[in-house]
Amino acid sequence: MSAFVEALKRTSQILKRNQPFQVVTHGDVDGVAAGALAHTAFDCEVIIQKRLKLKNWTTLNLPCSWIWEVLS
Amino acid sequence: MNDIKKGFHRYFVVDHHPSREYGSNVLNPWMYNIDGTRYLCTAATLYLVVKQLDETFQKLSYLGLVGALGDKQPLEKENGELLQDAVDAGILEDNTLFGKYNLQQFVDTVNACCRNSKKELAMEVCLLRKYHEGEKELQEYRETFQRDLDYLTRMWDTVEKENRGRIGCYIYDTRITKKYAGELATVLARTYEKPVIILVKDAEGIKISGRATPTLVKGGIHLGKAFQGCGGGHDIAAGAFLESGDMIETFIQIVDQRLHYMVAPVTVRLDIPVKNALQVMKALSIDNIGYKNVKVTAEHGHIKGTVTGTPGTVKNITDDIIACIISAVQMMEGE
Repeated sequence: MSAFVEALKRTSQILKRNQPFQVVTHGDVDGVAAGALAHTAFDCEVIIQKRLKLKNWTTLNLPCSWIWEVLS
Repeated sequence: MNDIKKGFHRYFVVDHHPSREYGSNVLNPWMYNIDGTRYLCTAATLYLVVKQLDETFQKLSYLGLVGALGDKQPLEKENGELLQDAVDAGILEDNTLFGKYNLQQFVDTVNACCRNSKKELAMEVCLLRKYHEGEKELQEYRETFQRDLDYLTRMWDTVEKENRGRIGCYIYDTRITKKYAGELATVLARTYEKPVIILVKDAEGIKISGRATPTLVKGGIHLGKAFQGCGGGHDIAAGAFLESGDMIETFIQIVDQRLHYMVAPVTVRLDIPVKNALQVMKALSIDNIGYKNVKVTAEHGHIKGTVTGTPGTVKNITDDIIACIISAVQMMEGE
């Protein structure tokens, strides 16, 4: 099994174990599609942001946060 | 990444932008030598993750395809797996999604919602809801985009004059619709075969979108690296942000200097000790057909030579020559 497939499996288990979580994603097509995918697969809340705003995020006091599409 | 580490106790990042470092709480195709810029976007990567959990998630492959096409990626190599999954799941046939949406039109609709700052609507469209509302955004987007593109095309001579002597074309014009800057830069870069960097002012500062072309990238251009310090991204598409308009001149100066170094011709000298250098050279001469500005000879147990060109080309040719030498040596050892 390739290292990438192992990483996919490991990540899927991390996601499964750590529900519920919130997703913070970038507001472009790829970011929104990723958000929709996460929402469907994990029923998580998705926060779409124009660009990284950590000051706002930290006030959310999230139990567990998943972030992608930091900048594009 | 440092800001994320400081801001969160628990986090995980799924991303596809190349970076100098990643870390343990990150999944990025680049960590596994997969070209995330061209063959696996974030949505596609996440699809491959959820697919590990349950085969029924195969029907979500369309979202990975939407992300890939949104990032102008070809549906081949790693993306090819998603395409096959979509066909196998029966959700994609003749470029039509779920029997009623044309795949590219669907992507354009999501894109228009994003560009028009209707991100929640974009999400709804992705979830196969409110598609007709999304179509209205697409119509508005197309009209405004075309108006802006026509304007910039008319202005192109002036833009070129203003950017004379620079590698990139920098456009700072308040008449451009801010949210379309990235898309406009894409079309202009392809039309004029130049790195195009559009700067727009928004409420928070100066937003910058840079776009190049595959040919420019092959020649050494890497916009993500050029923007380092106030932004980043891919070789072909990158973004940056300045807090104040006073920083624009400095930004242009630094970025263009970096771009200059990326494409300025360089010469690499090769001097590799090789057993049976003359015989190895015979094998090399076959593989060297088609290379220009390359001189390689065998001298006293060494293969010596020079390769001249843009850094990207020189790197590729040098890599090829070294690979040929290794393969020729291995072949002779085998004999």
